Amino acid sequence: MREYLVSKLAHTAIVVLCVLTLVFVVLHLTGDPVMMMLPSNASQEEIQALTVALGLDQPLPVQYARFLGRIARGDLGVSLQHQQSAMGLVLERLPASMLLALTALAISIVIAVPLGLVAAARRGTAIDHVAVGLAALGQSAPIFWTGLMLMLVFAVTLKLLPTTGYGTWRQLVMPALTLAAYPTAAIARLVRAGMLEVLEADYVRTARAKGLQERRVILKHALKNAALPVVTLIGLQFGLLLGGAIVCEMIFAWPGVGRLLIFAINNRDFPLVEAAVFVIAMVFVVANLLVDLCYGWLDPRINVRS
Amino acid sequence: MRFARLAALLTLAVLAAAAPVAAQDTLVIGQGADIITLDPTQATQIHNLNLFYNVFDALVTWDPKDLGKIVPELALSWRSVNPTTWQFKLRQNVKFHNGEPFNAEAVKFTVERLITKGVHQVYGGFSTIDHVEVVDPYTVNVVTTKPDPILVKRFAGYGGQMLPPQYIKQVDWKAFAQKPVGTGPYRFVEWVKDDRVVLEANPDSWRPAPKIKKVIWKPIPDTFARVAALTRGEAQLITKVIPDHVAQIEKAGCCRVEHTLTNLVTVYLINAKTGPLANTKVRQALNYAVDKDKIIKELYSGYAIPIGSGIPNTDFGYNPAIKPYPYDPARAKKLLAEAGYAGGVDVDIQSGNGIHLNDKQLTEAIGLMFQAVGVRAKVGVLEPAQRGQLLRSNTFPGLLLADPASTTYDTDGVLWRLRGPGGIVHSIWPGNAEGTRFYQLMEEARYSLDSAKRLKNYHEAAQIYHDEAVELFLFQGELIDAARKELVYKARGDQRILVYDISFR
Repeated sequence: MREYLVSKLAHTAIVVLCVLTLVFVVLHLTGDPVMMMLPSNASQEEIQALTVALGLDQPLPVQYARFLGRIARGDLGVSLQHQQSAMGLVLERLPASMLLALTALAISIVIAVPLGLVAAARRGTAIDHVAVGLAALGQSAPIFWTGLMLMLVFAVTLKLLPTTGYGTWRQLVMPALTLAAYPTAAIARLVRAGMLEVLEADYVRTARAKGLQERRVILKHALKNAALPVVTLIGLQFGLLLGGAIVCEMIFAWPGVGRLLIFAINNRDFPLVEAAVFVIAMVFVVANLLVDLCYGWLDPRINVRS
Repeated sequence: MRFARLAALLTLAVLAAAAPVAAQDTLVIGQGADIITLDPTQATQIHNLNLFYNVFDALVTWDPKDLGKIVPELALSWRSVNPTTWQFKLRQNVKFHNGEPFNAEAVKFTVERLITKGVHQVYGGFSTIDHVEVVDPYTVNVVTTKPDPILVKRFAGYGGQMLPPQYIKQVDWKAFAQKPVGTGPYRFVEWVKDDRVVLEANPDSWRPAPKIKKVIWKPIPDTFARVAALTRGEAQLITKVIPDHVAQIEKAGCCRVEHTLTNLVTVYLINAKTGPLANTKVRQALNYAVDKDKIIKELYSGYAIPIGSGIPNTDFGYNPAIKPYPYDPARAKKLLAEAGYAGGVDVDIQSGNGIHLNDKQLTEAIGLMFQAVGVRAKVGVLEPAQRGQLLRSNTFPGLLLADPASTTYDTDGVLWRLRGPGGIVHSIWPGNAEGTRFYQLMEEARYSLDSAKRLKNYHEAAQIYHDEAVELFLFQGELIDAARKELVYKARGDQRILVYDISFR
């Protein structure tokens, strides 16, 4: 187990370093943070002075070497725009992002798993068609549309929920539902597909032949076996929900990491982008690690130790 | 069924009971973005500046009835002692929010910060200053390197907020940027990043007590969400309303739109160094090819006025005799033919997407108008940082959307700071080079203390600017805010929200 974790972490470090390098190169080559910091009528002299002060006048390899030096010391630098620790700014927003992502994921699982199960068990019936239709809708509706529609209905028209903001459960409802739409659909479809496959399997026929109740066949024998790809998907979705909630966070003025990241990218705030990408990558990795560990429990034939 | 109905009713009751009710001495303002700092030397965007204008005071400020005219704030009077020295007499018995006294030493400290290069973002506005002399505790002399006619006005713009020397020495700049103290009518309470900034009335202000006791600034990036927050009553004032939402706000019954002309001019800068655009006739043709009235009506719901030069009517030096280029496609075609492009010409035209209001749509519309006169427009969209890089290097091809404005309400700021020596776009038009009439006019006016002469120079320079069609001149825009009907609020042309002047009916 320990060996497994160590090798996994080593892999992770390499992947994260590659990602950060890619981000470094792409950002440095495509925009100028100094122009985003100064007023639009700044003089060339001012621009030059700030460029030198930030060390951005150095050749790219030199800047990259400095960047690696900082990473090695575990320091992701100071945000150019905010002039505060980049990592601090990201970590400040992480709780809001985690709350939103976890809530959305919980909603997805609670809705999607039963929906997928029922659709598979009642294949070809009206329930199945409705479930598949809903899933298609959830996966194809753009987030900004879903979000604005929810706001129009529940905040503006019915006046049941506050429009935007953070801090109370009422403010969490709409962003979480908006964000849950896509993973709900994706998970429901996968549960349904997985169940359909498993329900054809010999051991299910055996279970039925033994005279077990259909409910017991599905929940006890089929579901656990169909769960493997679903757990993988949930792990992946969590990472996506955390970093990919940008549109949702913008619409509902949710103070999360995604909103900070888009600000950082637009302003070429290099240290801030690097810090946000680093944190999101780490969450991705941890989520995947947990998924891997789940495999062993779900399917004893998989041995994470080897 | 009965149980379900009961449950629904209960849910409704709980939700309704939990709805927030704002007291009438608390004002919630919805802006488009969160601030990045509370250090007045580290930001220049209006949503951030608005916090500075409420927490800090400057030496002088704009007269709300006549923007561009200065009135006292922390300086009670000022005069030019000699061509390079301006003397300010300061208001007495003023304290910063931490109790520290405001005096000539505070002015000296602030100005010395302002003229330090490379450590903050507002140096450009104060680069003419050489040093400061403390004459007595309430008198300071600001000495410039050359005569500077707009020196006093510079202190009314951004960066002019007076800073507390003792406090900053005690806590350092970084801590100051998170928890500032000023002399302004409101003092800082808390800043929850991307969620809210809270201010409360300063009980020890030199001004009479304000009517609004607490202000909450909420960043709400989405334009629709901002309007929804207003109509729901979660905010009483919102900024940056887009014209498309005006009808919805007025229909809601609870709210009204507040709009006024600003000094921002929307133009396309033209890279006239080489190629067809170096030819004045081609640039004139582009100006005749665009139907400005139609653009203003269709894309901006009428919230703008067309312009004929790059100078807005709010600024010193504006020449009212210069009219906008009329829409005349036939004339545009004729000019292109005279320039040798009867068969058409290729021109790049670019803008951001969301940097300026309706920028992408504007560029597409103009591209179509260009096509109609034989200009083959290559329409492009740029990311903000990409746009900045092209602007800085003076290498953008063809036309690029921009909205210059002067922070001093002066032609020098809107025009010569960009195009003069060392300006951000100093080398995209040969007509501003040393030795030209235009250069002479602008340089003379920059360093003359004779207002009449400055005005005359700017009028002539504006005429050259118009005749040479140096830019594609479009319009001077309005800002649109929206407020609850119970709020006594009037939008200001300088875009500032001064809570001290706001109250509830």
